[in-house]
Amino acid sequence: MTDLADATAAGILIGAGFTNRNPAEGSDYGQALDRYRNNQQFRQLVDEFARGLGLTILGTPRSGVVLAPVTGSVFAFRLGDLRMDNTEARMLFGLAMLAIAALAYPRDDTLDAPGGQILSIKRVEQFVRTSIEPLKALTGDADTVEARVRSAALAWDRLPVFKPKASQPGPATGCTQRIVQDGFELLVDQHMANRAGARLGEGRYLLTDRFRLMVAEIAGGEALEALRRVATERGSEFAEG
Amino acid sequence: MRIVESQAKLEWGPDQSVGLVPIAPIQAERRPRPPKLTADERRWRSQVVMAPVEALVRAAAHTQPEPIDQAHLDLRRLAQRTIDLVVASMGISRDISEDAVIDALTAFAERMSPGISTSDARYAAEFVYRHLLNAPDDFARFTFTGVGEDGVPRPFTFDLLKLEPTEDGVSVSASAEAINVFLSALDLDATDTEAAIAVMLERQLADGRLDAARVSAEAAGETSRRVAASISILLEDIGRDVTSIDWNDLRDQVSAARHHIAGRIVDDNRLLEHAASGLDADEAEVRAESGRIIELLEGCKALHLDLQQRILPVHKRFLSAQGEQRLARRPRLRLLSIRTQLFEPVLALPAQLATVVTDVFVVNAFGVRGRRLARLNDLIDGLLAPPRSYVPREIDAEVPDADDGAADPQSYSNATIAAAGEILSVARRTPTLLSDLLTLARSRQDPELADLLVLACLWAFAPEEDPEAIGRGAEVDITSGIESLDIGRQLVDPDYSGADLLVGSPEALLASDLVAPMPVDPTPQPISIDRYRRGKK
Repeated sequence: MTDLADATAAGILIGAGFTNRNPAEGSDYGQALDRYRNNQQFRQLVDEFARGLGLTILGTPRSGVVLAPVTGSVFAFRLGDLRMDNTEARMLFGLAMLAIAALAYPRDDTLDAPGGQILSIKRVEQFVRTSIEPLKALTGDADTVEARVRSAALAWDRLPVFKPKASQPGPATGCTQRIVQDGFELLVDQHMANRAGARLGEGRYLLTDRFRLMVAEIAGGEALEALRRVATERGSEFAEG
Repeated sequence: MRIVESQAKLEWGPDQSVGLVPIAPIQAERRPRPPKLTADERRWRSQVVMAPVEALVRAAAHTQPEPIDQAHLDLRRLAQRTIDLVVASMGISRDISEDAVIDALTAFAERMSPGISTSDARYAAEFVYRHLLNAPDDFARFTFTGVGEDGVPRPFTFDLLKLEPTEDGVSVSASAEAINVFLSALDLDATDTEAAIAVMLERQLADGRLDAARVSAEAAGETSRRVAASISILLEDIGRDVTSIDWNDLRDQVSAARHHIAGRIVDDNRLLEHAASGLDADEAEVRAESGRIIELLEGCKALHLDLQQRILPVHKRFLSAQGEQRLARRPRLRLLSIRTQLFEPVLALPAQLATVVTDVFVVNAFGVRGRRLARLNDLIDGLLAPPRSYVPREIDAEVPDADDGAADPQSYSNATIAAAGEILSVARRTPTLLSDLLTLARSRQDPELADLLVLACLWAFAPEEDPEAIGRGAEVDITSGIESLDIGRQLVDPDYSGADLLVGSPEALLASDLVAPMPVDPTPQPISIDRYRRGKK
């Protein structure tokens, strides 16, 4: 039978998944996390509890429990939460996020390796620009279908790298560095990254295991499926046209 | 001389047959015991035992007519192999013959360097073998002289291999020095940081260098935590996705970890004992420092004991996780490289299509949207931000359960139900016998109508009181305000049998002259279930 104390512990664990608290050894959270790792029954209880809430427990790295919403859950992140007024801005933002993930976790084993990853805005921006270079050569022909519909790469390429703010340091709206910064800042809000702080320099962020697990377990696969869908649809269009 | 001999015997016990006095053993005549070796001396000896191997490696560069090809032949490995071969046969029955050693070494050298000719391999094998027997020094015992801090030179003499004549040639065995150094002392993980720190710590404690010992104890704790972390990762991997782990790898990793931890726990205890002796010291400083070291060491020990607890059931956990995860959520497509599989293809897509993919990624990457307390900063941002754009979200229509959509094979068509309702409304006005209703029904050319009508009348005779007990069919709705009454008539019908029920509204039924007054007849009457049930209520 479920013990009432178990229910509390399960609640503590799931509740902690919404915060960026690190489990301290011996704390309620730390103890619950330990039990989750080692106690089969408790693990099942927490998993089922989470399932009822519309959540999945993706993993329990040292930095704490990582929750993911199931599709359609009330906790699911929605595009509307981004507050982006046009699709191109949203697409550029998405590109920046993809670039952050690609740079932080270049291979499948890095997707599995726990630990933080330090990235800077400049490096991510630069990474996108370098990835665009070879594409520019490919889409040079004005008569191709690619050139008629402006590619995602060109949308990025069109924007300046950096635009200064009037009075403060940092990139202003309308440059690609700002887009990358927005991506990082949202990750910070979602407890998936920390600002690296003065020691490492401004504009650097430390990505946590949460982001890694989310990319590795869910977002990467879903996006890959979406890409395949898009590619097949596009392939059939070409076949028809 | 005679006396000396008998004295020598006395060392092992008085020889009664001699009957000579004195009886007491004479200490002075004993063979002097070798002085106890210091730790320095011991290590120096171990080091020296390796020296012949290095000498033979150097000598190999000058062999005539041409040097041994050391790029392809590892002579140290060959030497090691020689000792292994000899020791392996020592345990079993009798010593290995010289020829067998050379043959085995030749084969080993050939495996090591596939292109080598057999004669070259044999030459190398013999070269190593001869050098281990100290061939350059005319097969003498190896002799090295060490000079200690006291300036006294102490010679050390040893063999590596020993030869003994047998009936059919010469047999080879290994010396104690060779066995101890090659097989025991060298068989440790030279890169095992934890073990190295433990050795260092023990040495520092023994030398009374407590400040250094404390630093080492801290380092030991640090390394322990690192090992603990790597084991935690392993355990986490099991919990996350069993398929990411190779069973064979796991077994090796777990047994290595278990072995390592068991060794650590032994070391921890020994070090603790060492450090505890410092608590008895006279100087307060030493006592305090020893206490700090003990604290650090106890932390390590607790960590190791905890790890041992966790590593022991890991096999079981692996198996149960395997069972569980086989039923777990559907496997998602697994990315191998975000850059080549996802990022670069998306860059090449037209912006419109790229948005589809990036949206999916963004929505899924950000995880849960928690409710947070509003902060003033956020509110200002929110007020100044452009209004949220409406992003149409496709809402999947709820898919009805499979059996809801399919037609219920037992239900009646609407036409049949309507016809039955009409016929029953006749009865509602004037009580009518079921047989008459059936005649009416049959006139309508609907084969199912009679069926429904009989069911409806039966329902009206004994409605199910509990609405949840059975599903409500058509017969329930069309019988509202109608009751059936058994008036003792038999139904004569080709399809149905039983009582010819009188059907009508309850009031009309009571007034009907067809309902006989309750007979005084003592024979048991059929009980109206309906009334029985209502009476019970």
